[in-house]
Amino acid sequence: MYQISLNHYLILSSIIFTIGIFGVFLNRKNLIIILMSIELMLLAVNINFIAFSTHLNLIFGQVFALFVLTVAAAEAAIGLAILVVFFRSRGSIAVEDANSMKG
Amino acid sequence: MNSVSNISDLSIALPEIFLSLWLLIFIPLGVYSGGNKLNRQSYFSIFSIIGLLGTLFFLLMGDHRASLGFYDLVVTDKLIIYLKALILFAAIIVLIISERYRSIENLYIFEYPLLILFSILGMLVMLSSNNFITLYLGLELQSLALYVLAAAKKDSLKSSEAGLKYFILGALASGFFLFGVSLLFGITGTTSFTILSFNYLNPNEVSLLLIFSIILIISSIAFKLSIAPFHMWTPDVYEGAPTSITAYFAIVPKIAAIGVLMRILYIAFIDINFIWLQLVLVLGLLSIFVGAFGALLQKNIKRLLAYSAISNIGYIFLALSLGNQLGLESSLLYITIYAISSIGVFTFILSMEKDNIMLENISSYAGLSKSNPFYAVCLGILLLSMAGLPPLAGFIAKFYVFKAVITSGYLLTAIIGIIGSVISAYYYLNIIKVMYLDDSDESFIVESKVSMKIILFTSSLFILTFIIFADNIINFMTYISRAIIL
Repeated sequence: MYQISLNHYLILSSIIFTIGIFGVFLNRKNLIIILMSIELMLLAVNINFIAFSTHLNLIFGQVFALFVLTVAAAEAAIGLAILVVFFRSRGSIAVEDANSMKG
Repeated sequence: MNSVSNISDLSIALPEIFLSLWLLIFIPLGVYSGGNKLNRQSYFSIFSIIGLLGTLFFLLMGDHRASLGFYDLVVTDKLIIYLKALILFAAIIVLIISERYRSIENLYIFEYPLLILFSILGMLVMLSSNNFITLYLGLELQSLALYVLAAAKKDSLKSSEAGLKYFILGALASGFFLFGVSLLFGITGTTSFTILSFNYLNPNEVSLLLIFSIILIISSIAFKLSIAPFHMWTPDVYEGAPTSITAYFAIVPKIAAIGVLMRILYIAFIDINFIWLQLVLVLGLLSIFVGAFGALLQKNIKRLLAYSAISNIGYIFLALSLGNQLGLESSLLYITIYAISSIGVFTFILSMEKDNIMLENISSYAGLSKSNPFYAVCLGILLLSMAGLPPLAGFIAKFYVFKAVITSGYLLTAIIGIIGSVISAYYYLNIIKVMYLDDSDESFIVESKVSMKIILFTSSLFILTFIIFADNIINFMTYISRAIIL
């Protein structure tokens, strides 16, 4: 029988984190997907913190994870608000439409 | 490390507590007293300036000894108090100079000073943090307020796009920061700066994972400081954001992030400095050159100043990469002079307005020396100082950075840095050329507030006469940089 060890959690969180980074950079369609990818990155961090917390038997990691969750919620709210403002003036939320400034 | 004295926890965080309470009064006051009525706006600005002055009062009246508090989550010492005072001072000045711009550009909303106060609170928390958890909360409080401020002009496409770009890349940097901190927590079992500095990081057993986590943490702070290669957002955000917010971005958050970087590098990771010395050095040199070359072809003054900020912060990185007392001192001197000359330059930009339209193109300053000689002379002094012409303040700041680099034995680095500084002199001098030698078909008289004229005059006078009291200021920098004992 396989036992789920710390390494498995770390591999899982690294994979989720990498998916998040690629989602931000490779996505060419929709800005909401970028917001979801950022959320994915923060959740990967939470997996890391909780895995380390149980492995090291330190409660601190779980406290940090709770703070990260709270801040991630605030961040998502502000991100969506800015997205709505952008949509009102641009009329689109496609990534390639965010191009009024260059140089 | 730091000598810890016995003062109560509350007195350490008194400025932050005062500012939070002030904000708690501010929010209902803004909402229930017709917050967005035009004739009440100057009251809100005055209210927020009084709040900042009160915070400054509690900061300077408080205990200046080095001490830890709140279960070692919060720290204070001379260096932190100096940087906080600089932040509060710069924020008050920026609030004063943005008044006129706000009335022209329809930015008279009470959320504007409110969000600035929130971001100041975040910066104060960042600077007093002695643990990555406090640092993260302060950093996010600051960033979330700044994202909204960048998008403050809701009807402008450029402003909302600037806010969006800043938000996406800022959130990405926060993700990197957190991932780095989580790995650090896993490796060492702590995230406290002072505990890390004692013996948790053994220079003889550095794992690849630790290097990776430190690189992630440093690069996320470098992102907040717009250091190349994490500078992509800077020109767009500076151009798109309302000019008064750009002034705020260019001055205040930089001071806070530099202070945090000093604390991370010189306290938490000082024992394993062989990991970050080279990294910070390369980032510094790279951004000096990216800033110098990027600005060469810019037509918009705000974009140009974005690149100028990139290269200026590059010099600070160069100084910090030395990992010794000299580097700390010269970076403190540099950030102080950078803040004061940026205040002057942005006061100038915020005054340049013709028929209620802000002038942002460099070519529109043609013939300014004839129509508005006062403004032309002041900006000329400030730009010559930024270009590094002796004996102005900018020269002395750069001189001390390069002196520190050479005394620490990096001659080649100093030569490369000086080449970058010479290249960047070109675009500063180009603006002076436009003001003094180019002719313009339509001249205009700048009418701005007396307060802005005084601020512009004082900052250029400071830059011009800095050499007279340079010794005292440098001694003062040496004195406060001793707060971090290496």
